[in-house]
Amino acid sequence: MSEALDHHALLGSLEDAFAEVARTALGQGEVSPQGHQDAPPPRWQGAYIGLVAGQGSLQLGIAADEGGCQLLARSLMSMADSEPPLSDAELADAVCEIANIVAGGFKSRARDKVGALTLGLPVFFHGPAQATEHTGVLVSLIRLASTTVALLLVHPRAQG
Amino acid sequence: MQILVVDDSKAMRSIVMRAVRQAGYDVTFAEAVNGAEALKAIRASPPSLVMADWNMPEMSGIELLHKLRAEGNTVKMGFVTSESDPSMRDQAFQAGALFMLTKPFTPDAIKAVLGPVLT
Repeated sequence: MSEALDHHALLGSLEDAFAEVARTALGQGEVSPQGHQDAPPPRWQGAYIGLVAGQGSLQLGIAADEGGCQLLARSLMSMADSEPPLSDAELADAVCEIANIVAGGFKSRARDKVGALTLGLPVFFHGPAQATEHTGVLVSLIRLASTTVALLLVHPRAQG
Repeated sequence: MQILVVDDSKAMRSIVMRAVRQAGYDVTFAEAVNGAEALKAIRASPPSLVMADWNMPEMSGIELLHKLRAEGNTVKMGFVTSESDPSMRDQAFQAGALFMLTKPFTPDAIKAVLGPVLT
């Protein structure tokens, strides 16, 4: 993946992809960007999905607190307020599917920036992604309905 | 008339089935969690239509379609996937897919792809 890659531009593509999914699949018309930071709160949970390019890879993540994840999952499944909370397995499955759909939108939006990407399979996680010597993490906080969602972009650091 | 919905996400299988019902189709459903499970189900009892995800563990949707056609099975099949690459669409249609519906989809999009297939 190019060392000159504009990761903030990619984060913008991720924000656009999430906004579309929020409007359509989640039925949440209003999303409000709250700014960028290096990591979401440590106790948040969510889903990561990898996108592999010829020269590197990216990871996209969607995270929120427990209530936020319930809201995302229940919105995806068009659940009524009267229905009981989702189990851990149901919650993980639904949030992973949201990450999958967002990644598809990101992939088409980022094609002109990074070239062809191959989608991986999403995984559910607890806790924040950790930046390393070789990878950086960008986080965009998004207000959606009554919760805040973190969109994460884990990217390779430029070498040298 | 039966539709086999193939997706590793239980939530997405539920969403697809609900969307088909809401589009007004009087069908029954079977479910499979990946291409391998779908292949067994189709061999045992061919459905009227297969609606499959593309990216799944063990066997992807496109692998399923290739295997079906390779063994001469002409069951109707389309994709419901987050993938929208033109090259993947080409690959799907060349393999014999009838449609490629991109997630997130609208009720109108469901009707548009199922109308020609189920009538």
